[in-house]
Amino acid sequence: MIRAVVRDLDAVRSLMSSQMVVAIFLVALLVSLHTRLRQQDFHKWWIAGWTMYALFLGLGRLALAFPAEWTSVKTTVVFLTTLVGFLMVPPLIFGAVSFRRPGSITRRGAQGAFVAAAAVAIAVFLASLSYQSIPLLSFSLRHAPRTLFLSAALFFCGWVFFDRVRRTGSRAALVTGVSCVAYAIDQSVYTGAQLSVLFGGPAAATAEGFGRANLMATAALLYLDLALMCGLCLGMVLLLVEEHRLAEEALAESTERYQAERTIRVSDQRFAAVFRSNPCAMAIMSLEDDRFLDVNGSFERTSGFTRAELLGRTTLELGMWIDETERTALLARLMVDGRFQAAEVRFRQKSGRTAVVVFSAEIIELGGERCVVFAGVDVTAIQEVEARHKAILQALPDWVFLTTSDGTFLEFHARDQRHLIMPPADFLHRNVMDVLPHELAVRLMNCFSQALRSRQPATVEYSLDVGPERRFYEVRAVPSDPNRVLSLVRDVTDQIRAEQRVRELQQELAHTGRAMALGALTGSLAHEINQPLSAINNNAHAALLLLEMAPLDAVALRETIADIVSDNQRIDDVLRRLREMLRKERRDYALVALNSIVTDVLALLRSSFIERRIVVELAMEPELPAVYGDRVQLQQVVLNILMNAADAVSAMPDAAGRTLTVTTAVAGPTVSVAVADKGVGVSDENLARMFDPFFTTKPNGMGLGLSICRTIMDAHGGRIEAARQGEGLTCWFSLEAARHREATAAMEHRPLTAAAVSAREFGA
Amino acid sequence: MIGPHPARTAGTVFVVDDDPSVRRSLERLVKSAGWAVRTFSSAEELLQEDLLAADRACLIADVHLGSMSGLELQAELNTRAPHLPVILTSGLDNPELELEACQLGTVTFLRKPFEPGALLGWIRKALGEETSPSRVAI
Repeated sequence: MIRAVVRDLDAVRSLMSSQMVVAIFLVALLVSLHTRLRQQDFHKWWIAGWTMYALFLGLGRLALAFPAEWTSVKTTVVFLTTLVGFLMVPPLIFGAVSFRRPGSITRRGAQGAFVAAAAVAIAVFLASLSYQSIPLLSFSLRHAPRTLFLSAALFFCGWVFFDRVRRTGSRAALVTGVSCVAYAIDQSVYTGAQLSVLFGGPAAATAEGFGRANLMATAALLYLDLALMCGLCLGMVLLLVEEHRLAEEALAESTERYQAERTIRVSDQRFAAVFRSNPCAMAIMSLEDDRFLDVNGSFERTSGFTRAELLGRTTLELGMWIDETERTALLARLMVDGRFQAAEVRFRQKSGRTAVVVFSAEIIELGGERCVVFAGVDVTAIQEVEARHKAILQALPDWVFLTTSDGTFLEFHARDQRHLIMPPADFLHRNVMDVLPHELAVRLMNCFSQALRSRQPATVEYSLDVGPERRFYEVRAVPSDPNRVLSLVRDVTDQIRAEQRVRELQQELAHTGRAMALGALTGSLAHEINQPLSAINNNAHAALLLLEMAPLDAVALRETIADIVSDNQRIDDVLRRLREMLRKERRDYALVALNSIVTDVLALLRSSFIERRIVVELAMEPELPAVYGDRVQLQQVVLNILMNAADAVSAMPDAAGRTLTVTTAVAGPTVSVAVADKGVGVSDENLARMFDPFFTTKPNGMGLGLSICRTIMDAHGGRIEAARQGEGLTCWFSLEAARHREATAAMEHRPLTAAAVSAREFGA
Repeated sequence: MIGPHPARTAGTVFVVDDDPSVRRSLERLVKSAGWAVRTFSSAEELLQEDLLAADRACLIADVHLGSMSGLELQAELNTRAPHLPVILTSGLDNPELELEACQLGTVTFLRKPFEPGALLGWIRKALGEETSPSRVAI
């Protein structure tokens, strides 16, 4: 019997330990529920309750270890066990109440309950102490009220959980409720056993009584305790799962709500930002009374009105419509379709200026009010630019073609299409190579690719037979973007003809100048002819006389006739030079030796110089390189310079003063002819104007000679200049030597002269 | 009228002309007309001669000569050899020169090209061989 009791006590101890472990696990579950999920009073109270239960089990197991005598330590442990056993009851009840209706436990109520429980515990303990001698009685005295309270509390908890099951169908509540009720029944069994000890009197408290009371100590009951404890744990785990699910749902729901709210907030902010900083002029107007509700900065700038001036007023009040019928029409469209897009309207700005605005409008609802949102772009400046471009195009006499880099015509502009060499349909969207003569097309394509490559305008000139006449064109190609070329084609026929005419007139003028210069020389030229003519006369007469003499002096006669022949040649030479200089037609440029030109001119001037006793000193460079030019025109220049110098010195009293120095020289690529005199000289002012047309200091001069010389030198690509030297004046002209000019021309692929340019380019 | 007069050798004709061809032609012409001829290319050259030594002589000079002109020569001769008759010639058509020459007492002023017969006539007159011929000019 004793052995059985001892064996049972060992089983009780180990089961109590197990139960304690499970209780601690239950507490851990509750703590995790409390911390991980919504913090509820239920968790808090049950953590307290079941912690105390675990403590109770621990202390109870400790009490069982003490021997039968009541030492002060055992008394303390037993007291604490009793206290804790009672104190665990209120938290369980509070937990259930909180589970049913959170927040319904007041601090004061809780304090009262704990005080009451502690009071009962102390009272029960004191009563049990008085029955120390009968351990079983003492035990039952302590535990019967405790198990009674506990079972009542657990029944209450069970009811609460079942109520929850009824309302929500929670499985966790069901498991927990079943466990609670079963536990309550279990505790009731204990209570019954202990009550039977108490009311069985001292006999029951003996070994027999213990035998009945032993029931409570049977392993089966303790195993049931353990199982129910596990049931509670399972309930808590399920509760954890459910709570977690609920929390997730709640989180998802709240996130969704948050997102929705945020979206609304963000879209509001976005609209505000778009509205505020939009480059379009934007306004919100009441549909009902047409008043401005809001405008943005662009609208202020476009309209010229400030925000304060606009808000609360209507467009009509502000006189913004130039044509109010436009407003009526647009309003009608807005009412029918709810919107309109890209309407071009002329508005009056505050300054009175007209602004062309392209705008769209749409009816929207803002804060329950039907409004109209306008968004417009001020296209006044753009239209002005377009109009200007159009005007420029209109004003251009040129044809403008837009072509791709591979030569396909995309667009064209012609002020008058009748002047095009072919109808637009024949070249638009076709390639240059297919439309134009091959050689011309190749030149154009070269020009295009040059323009594209260099990103600079490139030009090409060409001529075409249009109808009966040949017309000349100039093309300027400009890259409009990396793949397209804008070419401006100009009919330069008139210009070319005019240039030809100018050249002809220049020729004529030069001829006139020569004629005038030679006219001034008539007297001395006559002398130049009269001298040999006179000699011929004398010789002929002498020859006749010689023929009458006998014997015939054949030697003298031959000499005489030889002189006649040579004098005749002299006359011929003079006349040849004169004829040459008076020839009118243009000659091609040829290689010319300037030394021979100087000699020829001096021959013509000889008599004049002799008559005026002018002495010429020659300093000619024997190795003077030839130049390219018109021989007669260069003679004309030399003649003019020499005659000018002669005029300057003919009044000088002494022979030294009447000396002219003619120098020909070469310096690098330049060949020059200079005439220096020691004559009367010229003033600075006259020096500057010497080569101007109609400028002269001579009483009978026309002032054309030197100006014609300058024109001639310009045409030859040379220069004519004059500078004072001592008393007199030195006048010279310079030209590029032909060999050098050819070399540079070959290097630069440049035609030799301006005249040759047009001749070569136009094949004229 | 035009014919050689080889017998007539008493007169001497001086010729001053800077144009060699003209000078030669005058020499030939005068010589073939029967007079003695002495030619000079400039006035200065002539002035080196002893002009007073010649018994019957006359001078044919061009107006346009290098440094000293025919007119200057005439003026000079008016003092040095006043008896020497001077015939002036010129290739230029210049009435002023002609007037000046007349004032200096020139026998005649012939414009080139002159008719050779006329020149010979004026030489004869200058040498006092016959009466004045009609003046010939071109």
